[in-house]
Amino acid sequence: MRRLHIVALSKYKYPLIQRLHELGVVQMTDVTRTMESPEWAQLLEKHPSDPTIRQITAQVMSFNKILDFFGAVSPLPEDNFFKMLFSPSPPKKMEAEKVYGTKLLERSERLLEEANAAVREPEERLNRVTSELGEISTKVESLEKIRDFRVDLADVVKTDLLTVLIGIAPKERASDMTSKLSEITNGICYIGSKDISQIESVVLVVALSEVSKDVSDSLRRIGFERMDVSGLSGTPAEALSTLGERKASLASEEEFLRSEIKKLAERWRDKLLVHRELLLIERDRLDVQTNFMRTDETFILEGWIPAKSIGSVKEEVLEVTKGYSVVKESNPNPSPDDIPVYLQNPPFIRHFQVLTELYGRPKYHEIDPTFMLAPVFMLFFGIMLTDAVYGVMMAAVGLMLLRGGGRYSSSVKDFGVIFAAIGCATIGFGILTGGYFGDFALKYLGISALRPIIFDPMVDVQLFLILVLVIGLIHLNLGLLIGFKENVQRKQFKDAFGDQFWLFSLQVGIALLMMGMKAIGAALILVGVLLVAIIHGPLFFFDITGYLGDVLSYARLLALGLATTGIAMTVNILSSMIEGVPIIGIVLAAIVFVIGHIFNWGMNGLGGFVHGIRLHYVEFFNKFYEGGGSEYRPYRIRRELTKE
Amino acid sequence: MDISTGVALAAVGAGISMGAAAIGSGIGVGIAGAAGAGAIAEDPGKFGTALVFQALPQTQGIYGFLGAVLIMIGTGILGGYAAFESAATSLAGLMDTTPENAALIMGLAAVGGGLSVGLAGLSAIGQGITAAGSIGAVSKEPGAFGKCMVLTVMSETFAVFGLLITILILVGLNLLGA
Repeated sequence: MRRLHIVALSKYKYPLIQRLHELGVVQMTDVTRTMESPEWAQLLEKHPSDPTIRQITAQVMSFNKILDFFGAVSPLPEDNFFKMLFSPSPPKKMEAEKVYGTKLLERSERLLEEANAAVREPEERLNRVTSELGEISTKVESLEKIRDFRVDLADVVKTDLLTVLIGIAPKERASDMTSKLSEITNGICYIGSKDISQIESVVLVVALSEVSKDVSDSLRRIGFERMDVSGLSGTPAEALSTLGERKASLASEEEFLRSEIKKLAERWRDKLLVHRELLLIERDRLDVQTNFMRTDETFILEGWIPAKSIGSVKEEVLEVTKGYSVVKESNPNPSPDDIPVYLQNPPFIRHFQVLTELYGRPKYHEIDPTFMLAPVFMLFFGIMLTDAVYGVMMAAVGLMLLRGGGRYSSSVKDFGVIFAAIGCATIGFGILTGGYFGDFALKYLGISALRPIIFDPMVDVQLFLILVLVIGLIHLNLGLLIGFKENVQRKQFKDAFGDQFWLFSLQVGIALLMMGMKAIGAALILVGVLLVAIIHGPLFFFDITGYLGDVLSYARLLALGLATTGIAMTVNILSSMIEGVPIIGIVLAAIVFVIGHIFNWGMNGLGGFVHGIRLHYVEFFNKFYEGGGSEYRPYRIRRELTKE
Repeated sequence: MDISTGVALAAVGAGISMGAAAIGSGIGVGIAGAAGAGAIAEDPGKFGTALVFQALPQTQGIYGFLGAVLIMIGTGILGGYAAFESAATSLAGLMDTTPENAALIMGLAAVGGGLSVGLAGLSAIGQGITAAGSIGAVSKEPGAFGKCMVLTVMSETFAVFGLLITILILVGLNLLGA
C-alpha cells in the first residue's frame, strides 16, 4: 500500500473523479485529517458538500416510491435459498446511456414526471377501490349478525325529530337497558331486540333526537356497539346482497387495475431502476468530494493505493487533467493500524481467505496465513471425515455450488471451492484408510481391493493417535517458526525468545533425551525452561502445560475420524439387522442406510469443518497471528443492474 | 467359558455412555434452542445461524453413542460373542489369569470407558450456554460468527478427551482393535 496525493485544477475535478471511480483502485481518505497544521489551514479550505446531493437524494426517494408501489402490486420474482445456492437465475444487466451531471438530473426529473403521470391515476383508483372493499367487508361482517332482523335499514337514520339506532348489545344487559332508557326518555322510546347468539342480541332503539346524546352515552356504557348502516336500504338480507354485487364489481375493477399497473410496471420499472442506479453512482461522485480540500482554483485529494497500481493511475490522472496536476506517492507510516490491507493469494488459495478473515484480516505488516491454512485445513478435514464416499458427496456439493450460485456470487464460489477441495482431501484419506460408507465396501460387498492401504483406523488406533499427534507437533512448530521469524524481523527479540525459541529448545532437548543424549538434552530443556521462566515470570509453568494441551488438542483429529467411521459402521450394522425382517426388510434397510449415512455425513462434516477451523484459530494462529487489519475498500462504481 | 458377567458389565458401561451423554446433549441443545427461538422471533432469517450453533452441543451425544457402540461391538453384544471370547483369552494370556477373569476385567473396563465419554458428555451443557450467547451475539453482529464458533467449540475439547480416554481404555484392554 502507498499513500497517493493528487493536486489538480478544479476544472478537471469531475472528470478526474469519474476516472478514479471507474478505475476502482484508490481508497479515498479525508484530507482534512492529514492537513491539520496551521500553514495548510491558511492555504486550504474544506471542500463544501455539493447542493446537488440533496436534489439527487430527493429524486432517488421518488424513484423508490414508484418502485415500491410496483413491487407491492407485481413483485419481482426472487430465488429461494436453495435455488440461490444451486441454480440461481442470472442477474439482469441492462444497457445504460452514459449520461451524468445536470443532464442526468434533468433526464431523471423528466422520467419521474412521466412515470408519475402514468401511475397516478391507476394508483388513486386502486387506493379508492381497496379502501371501499375494506369498508364493505366490515359492513358485511356486522350485517351477517343481524341478517334475520326485519327492519328497513333506510329507516335507521337520524332526523331532526327522531333518532334510530341499531347495534349489538350483551344479552344479559337487555332488561337493564330498557329501564335505563325509559328513565332517560321519560318512556318516550321504542326498543326492539332479538337474540342472535348465547350472549349477544341485536337491538333497535328509536328515541327523540333531543335526548339522542344521553341515549347513546348510556347505551355505550351498557356495552351497545352501534352499527353504521348509512347508505344501505332494505332488510339486512337485501342489503347484504346489494353489497355482494358491489363487492364483485369492485373486485373485478381491482383486478383490472392490477393488471394495468402490472403493464405499467413492465414498461417503466427497468428504466426507473437504471436511472436510480445512475443517480446513486452520481451521488457517490459528489459525496466523495467532502474528503477533499481546495483553494480557489485547485483541489487536493488523498487516498490509499496498492503499490502495483500506482504507475497506471499516475498516467491516467495526467491524461485526464492534461498535465495540470501533481501526483505524488509516499510510503505509509509503518506503524498505524488504519493502513488498509489488500490480500494477494494465488488463484486456488485465494478462496480460503474467507476462513482467515473469519478470524481477522491480517494487519498491514503481518503475514497472511492463508497459504498455510488452505492445505492444512484440507488435510485436517480429510482425517476427520475419513470416508471416500462422504468425500465424493462433499465434493459434489462443492461442484454444485460452483456451477450454481458460484457463477454470480463470489462468496458462494469461495465455499464451492472449499467444499470441493476438502471433499477431494477426504476422498484421498478415505482411500488410504479403506473407508467407503465405513466398512460397507469391504465387509458387506466384499470388495477386497478397497481394503485400507496405510491402516484401518478402527484397528490401529495407537498408530492413528501417534500420527495425529505428530501432525499436530509439526503444525505447531510451523506456527512457532513463522512467529519466530516475524519477531526477529521486527527486532522483538524478547518475544522471539519468550514466545517461540524456548519451545524449540525444550522440544529438541526432550527429543535428544529420548534418543539417549542425556547431557545435551537435559541442558537444552533447562535452557528452554529458564528462558520462559525469566521472560514470562512465575506463571511460566502454564506456558508449558498450555503447549502440552495444544499438542493433545490435535487428538481430536483421531476422535472425530473414529466417530465418523464408528457411526458409519453402526449404520451398516443396523441396516443389516433390519434386512432380516421378512418382505419389507430390504426396503427398511435401504431407508436406514441412506438416512443414517446422510446424517453421519452432515453431522461429522459440520464437526470436521468446525474443529478444523478451531485447530487453526486457537492452536495455530495463537503462535504468530493477531489479525484485525482494516479492509481495503477502493472507491469504485457499484453496478448491479447496468452494464458498463 | 463363562463371559456373562463381563458382558453384563459392558452393557452397563454402554448404557452409561449413551445415557449420560444424552443428558448433556439434550440439556445443551435445549439451552441453545431457547436462545435460537428468541432470535428467530425477532428475525426469522436467523434460523440458519441458530441451527448451526444448536447443532454444536449435539456432538457429545454422538460421542456417547459411539462409545456405547464400540463397547457393544467389543464385547459381542453387537455382532456375536466369539470375538470377545478370543479377545478375553488373549488378554488372559497377557495378564496371566483365567479367561473368565479377563472377561470380567474387560467388562469393568467397559464401565470405565462408558463413564469417561458419558460424563464428559455433560460438557454439552456448558457448550449449550455458550452457543445460546453466541446466537444472540451473531444475530446482532454477523461478523462475530467465526469467533463465537471458536468460543463455543472450546467446551467440546473435554468431550473429545473423554472419548479419547474411552478409546484408549478399550484399546488397552483388547476391546477394540484386537
